[in-house]
Order: sequence, then C-alpha cells, then structure tokens
Amino acid sequence: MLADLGFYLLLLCCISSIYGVLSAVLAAVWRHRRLYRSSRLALTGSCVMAVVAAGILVYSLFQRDYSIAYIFKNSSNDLPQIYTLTAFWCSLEGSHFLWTLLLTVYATLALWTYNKDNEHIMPYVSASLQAVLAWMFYLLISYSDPFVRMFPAQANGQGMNALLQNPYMAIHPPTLFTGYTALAIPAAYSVAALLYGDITEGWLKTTRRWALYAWCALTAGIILGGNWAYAELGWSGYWAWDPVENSSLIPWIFCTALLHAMIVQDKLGHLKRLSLVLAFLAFFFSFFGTFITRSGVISSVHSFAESPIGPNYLAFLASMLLVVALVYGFRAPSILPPDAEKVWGVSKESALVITQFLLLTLAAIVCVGTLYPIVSEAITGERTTVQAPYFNTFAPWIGLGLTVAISVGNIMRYQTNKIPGGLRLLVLSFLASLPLAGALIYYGEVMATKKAFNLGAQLVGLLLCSWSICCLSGDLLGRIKTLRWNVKLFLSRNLAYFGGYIAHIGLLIAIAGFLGNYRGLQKIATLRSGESVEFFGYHLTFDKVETTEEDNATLFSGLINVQRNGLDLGVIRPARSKYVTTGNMNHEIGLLSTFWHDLYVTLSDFDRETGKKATFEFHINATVRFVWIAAFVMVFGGLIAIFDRYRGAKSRDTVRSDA
Amino acid sequence: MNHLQMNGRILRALARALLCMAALLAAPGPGVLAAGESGPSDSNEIKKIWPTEGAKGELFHEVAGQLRCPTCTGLSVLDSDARFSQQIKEIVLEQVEGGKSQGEILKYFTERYGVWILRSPPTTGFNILAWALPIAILLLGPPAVWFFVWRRRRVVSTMGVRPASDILREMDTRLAELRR
Repeated sequence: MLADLGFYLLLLCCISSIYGVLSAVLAAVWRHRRLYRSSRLALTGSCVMAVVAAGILVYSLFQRDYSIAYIFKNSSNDLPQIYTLTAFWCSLEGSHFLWTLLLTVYATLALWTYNKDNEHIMPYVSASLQAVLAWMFYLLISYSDPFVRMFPAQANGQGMNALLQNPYMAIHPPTLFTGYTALAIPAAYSVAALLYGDITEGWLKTTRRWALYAWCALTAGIILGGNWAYAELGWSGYWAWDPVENSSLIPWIFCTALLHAMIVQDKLGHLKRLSLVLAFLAFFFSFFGTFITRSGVISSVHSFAESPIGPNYLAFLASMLLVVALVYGFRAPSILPPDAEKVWGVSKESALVITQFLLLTLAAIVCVGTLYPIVSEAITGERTTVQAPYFNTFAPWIGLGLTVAISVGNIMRYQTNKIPGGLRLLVLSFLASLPLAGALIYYGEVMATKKAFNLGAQLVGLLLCSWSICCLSGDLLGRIKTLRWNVKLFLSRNLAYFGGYIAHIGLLIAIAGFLGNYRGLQKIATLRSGESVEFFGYHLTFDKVETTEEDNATLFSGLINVQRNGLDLGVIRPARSKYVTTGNMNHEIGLLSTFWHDLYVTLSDFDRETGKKATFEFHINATVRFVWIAAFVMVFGGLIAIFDRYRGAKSRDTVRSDA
Repeated sequence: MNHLQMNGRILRALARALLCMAALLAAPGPGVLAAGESGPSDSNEIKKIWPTEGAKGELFHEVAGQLRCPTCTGLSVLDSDARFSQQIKEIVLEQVEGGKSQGEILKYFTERYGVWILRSPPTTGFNILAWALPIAILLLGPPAVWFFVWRRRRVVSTMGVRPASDILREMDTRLAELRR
C-alpha cells in the first residue's frame, strides 16, 4: 500500500513540476508576480511530496518490505542497520531518486532564499529548475521507478553488493550528489540571466555562494570516494581514472573554473559570458557523467540500447544543450563587458585567464580520455581502452602549470603589471621554501625512490609546492601588514581572499600528496606461521589466519605483528571477507597509517586448512594522508569564502533592475 | 575464437555489473568484478609470487602495468587478482623469464586480444587521435585565448547593443555640444 502511495506522490511531483515550468514561463512573459508565486508553490509542493516519498522508501527499507523489487534486490535480512539505510542509494533507481530529491530540496531552497535584487530573473530560474525536475520525476515514474512491486513478496532479499558495505557509502554518495545538484542553481541562474538579457545586481553574489557550496560538496565527495576505494578495493590506490571517477572530476573542474571566472567578473566586470557558460557546463557535465556511467555506454557502444534509460538520457541532454545553445546564441550579445580601461595586460586578470585555460584543458583531456573508447568503437569498430597511463601522461603537466599559475597569479594585481614588492616576495618565498621542501624530502624519505625520473619528478614537484605555499603566505602577510597587523579588520573584509588562500594551500598539499604516488614500493611474500619479512624498515611477522563471523560475512584475517626500529607497533589484520549471500571474497585491507606514509597490506591468498601459511602484498604508499588532510583544508577554505559579505555585492556595471 | 567468445561473455557480465554499480554515480569503482571472478580460488594452492626485485622484476612490473584487467574497470592486471589477471600475469612472467622484450610481450597480447588489452591506445592509425587531441588543445589553446580575449578587448559593440556607459558618454558629449 505504502509503496503505491510513494509512486503516486512521485507522479504528482511530476505533474506539479510541469505546472511549475508552464506557470513560471507565463509569469516571466506576462511579468505576473502571483503566477510566479504559484510556480514557486508548485516546486515547494513537489519538495514536500518527494520528501514524503523518500520517507516511505526509508520506512519500507527498515520494514524489509520485499514486495518492493528495489528493496528485494538490494537488501537482505542480515544487513546491518546502517546499510539498510544506505540501500536507499546503492543501486540505479534509488540513487536516481536521491539525486532528484536533493535537486528538489536545493531548488526549493534557492527559490525561497532569493535576493531581492534578482527578483526579475526568478521566474526564469524557477522554470529552468523545474524543467529539469519534471524530466527527473518522469524517469522516476517510468524507467527508474523505485517503487515497482514484486509479488509474491519473498522472505529474504538478494543482499547488497559487498563492495558497498562500507561506512563511506553512508556519506560519499549523498555528499557528491549534493555537489551535483547544487550546481543546478548557478546553471539555472545563468540560463535565467540569458533569458532576461542581463546580469542582475544580486546575480553574482547568489551564484557565487551556490557555486562555492557545490564546490565544497564535490571536493569532499570526490575525496571520500577516493577514501572508499583506498580502503575497500585493495589495490593500494585511491584514484584510478576510471570513467565513474572522471565523471565526478569534470564537474569539479568546471566549478573551479567558474569560481575563478567570477572573480574577474566581480572585480572588472569582464568574463561574464564565460561565467554563464561555465555555470551551465558544470551542471551539464554532472548530468552527462550520470548518463555515461549508468546507460551502459561506457562498457560498450552496443550495450547502450539495452537499457531504455540510456536513449532517454541522451535525448534529454541533447535537448538541454540545444535549448541553452540557442538561448545563448540569441541572448549572449546583450551581455556586455564594461568599458574598463587597462585590462588584459600582464596582470592578475590575465593570470586568471591562463588558469581558466589550464583547468579547461584538463577537463577536455579527461573528457577525451573518458569518451575516446566509445567514439573509437563507433567509428572504427575496434575496441580500445583508455586508463590511468593515458591520463598520467598529461595530468602532471597541467598540475605543474597550475602550481606555477597559483603562486605567480596570486601575487599579481588587477589592471597593472606592477606588483608592490613582487621581486622581493618571489626571492624571499623561494628562500623560505628551501627548508620546507628539504623537510618534506627528508622526512618523507623521498630519496628511497628507485627510478631516476620518478625521483626527479618528486623533487621538482615538492620544491614547487613549497615555493608556492610560501608565495601565497608571503602575499597574505603582506596584505595584513598594510593594515598594521590588524588581523580582525583584515578578516572582516577579506574572507573571500582568506578562504581562497586556505583552499589553494589545500590544493598544494594535495599535489604534494599526489607526488607520493611516484614512490612505488611494494613486496609480495608468502609466509609460514612465525616467519617474518623486512620491508622499508618494518619487521613484519606473520602469526596465523584467524576466522571470525561478522553480521553477514565470514572474515579470514591474517594477523601480522609490526615492528619498526625495535618498537612494537601492534597487530594489523589484512583480511578476506566471504559474504553469505553472494559467496564473493572481498578484500579488507590492513593499514598502518603514519603522517608520512601508509603501510598497506592485503591478504592475497592463504592455506584454507591449517591457516598457517599465507601470501601478502605489502605496499608503502607515501603521503596518502596529505591528500585526506588537503580535502579538509580545501573544504574549510571554501566554507570560509561562502561567508564573505562583500564579494559580488557591488557589481560595477550591471543595469539596475528596479529602474 | 575461444578467447573472443569468452571475452564477450565476460563483457556482458561486466556490463550488467556496471549497470548495477553505476548507481553510485561517481563512487570510484575500480575493480568491479564480475560475479564469481573475485577472490582467491577455493583450492588450497597458494598463489604464485610475482617478482618485485631485479631487472626481470622491473620488466614484469612494467609490462603487467600496461595490460588491463579484463574483468575490472580501471585496473591493470598488476593491481588486480581476478582470475583472468592472474592467468595473464603468469603468461607475462613466463615470457619475461624466457627472455622476451617488452615490445614482444605486448605484441603477443595485442595479437590475441586486440589493442583493447593495452591500458592506453597505441600511437598508430586512428588511435593517434586520442593522443593528438590533448596535445593540439595544449598547443593551439593559448593562441585561441589570445585571439578571443586579448585581441578583441577593444571590440565592444555587437548587434547594435552598447553598454550603458557608452550611451551615457555619448549623451554627455552631445549635451556639451548643444550647450556650446
């Protein structure tokens, strides 16, 4: 019964969204305020109904109502409580539902927290958001219905994919989806500005905050995903450049580019059209990623048509792109830069354009690499693979360029090639970076790298990162110094700058962390009980294989005593877990994490009868923790920047909408 | 051929697994194994140990790192312990110990599986496109940026629409002329 109610609620959501689009468009054309309010009310209604429908699904999940096919497929009686909840988004229909739900919530929030200065474009915002929602709800009641019934109801479900039974699954998908869906708001504001024909006074302020929020969520979501891969998949890495990861990275890059274009727009009134395009593309690519990963097109062009959801997505994406391109083509000429003098010389705005170029190039390369197998198969019929080695050929060079652009670009000034004390800052920061880089190289034991090229890459990279960090810090200190060290005054006016500083430092820490991937130290050993092995200063002694029963799995853990320099560091237990429902054997890694490196151990194989002999793979993964720390720092920086009250507050050249 | 048929079956299984997994929109999901391919075999035989030291160990790593795991997404056979990857690694090790060079071993695999088995497309034929595009963007991008941003900085009016400041200035000059 409840499941049917859920379905009908989604049906109502779809109808109400269609009404919302029509009423918003008419409200915009007729300039009819009350009609717009009814459109907003329609969205609010959809939001409430979608939340109730989600509540029904959650309730049914906990009731283990196997008469709902989705729950039957993704849950089972022995599933722990937390995974009973995460079953909501662990598969196609449910994750699509979560996507839609979050989009509805954020769209509603965006319409109710609007800025008075944007009043004139709100009908267009409402129309754009609800047009997307109408289609999402349509999919939810047609091809991707989470409430499909299955009779007779079974006594037990099929169980959840064991790889997804990890605490990160409780937080990673919702965080990432928050980022994806929050990107809809800047996109809607862009389309609205184009339809209205001008950028309204409050446009930048509102869009900037939503873009920052989405950026923080995406950053956190992507790194949480990396964390999950690192802990769950047992191949000792966190980023494999696989299509699913790439499709989350591309919107992040576009969002980053958008934030940087908006700085120029705020300061000089230039790059407005670029901001509009980037805001749309960021959202478009979060949709596009969904399409390529769930339509099956990524595994082969030929599996594309197997699921009806694929062609549907393609049709929607194509029409969305077409509509926005047409709107842009007709309306963009009315969005003009101001008559600012002395722009685009050797100055900060030019440095920001170079940053745009680097970011968009990276996005293009990731996109080309991800789509190439599909294109190549469609054209030549030959199947190809594009994986990490391809991306790793290009990405470090972009990273190098970005590091330089960050350090030099940040100390430059707008509209002038004069940097007060610039040369002194560059030299001093270089001198200050030497001990920092030295410490990173010494304590990180970088010299243990075997290959000369990999060693060189790490040395150059660490030096550049340290120099960049010192440059940014020097610039920050210089700015506070001009205020006679009044930090309070500085922070009260410069939260955007300060947030940016923190986020950039975070990125540089992350890059320093990525450099650890060049280390590549590993060892494979088969040990009998009591035997030990020496690896990178560690003395590892194998004890035995222990068998334990978990909620829904049997765990075979290989116990290893770890010693370093005579110090006992405890026992790590790399394991294999055998799940009752599926019978698959999954990795549970053994990890000894320190600030400078991780000792990462997987149990490859073991003697089933005696448990006295086992094969282990030992990895030293350098500076992995840097990446996790960097995520916190970057998100923290982004959050600080959200609270800046001055950025975008006075747009220099926007036409007053209340004239 | 038998290999190809087997590949087809694995791929279909993979496609199904992917479809389920795709749910996690962007959950990094390397190593989605087709059902039954994961984990150690149920026998008591301990798996072969791959060399990590010496010239042969390096060559083994180099080659195995360039071959894809047929049943996973995004992983090399080196990083994967799916059954097929194990078999491929055994063949690689055998050939490394037989004294074959990197090119010869890779050729052995591309002849049997097609270029699909390589983790990045070769730089021959149509596949040059995959490598040429990023390089073209990197080389042609800066001139394009220069063309669109720097060169056009003076061109403002388009389709008769002008910024308000221009109109204001024009009005000012005309007023000044009238007053004269």
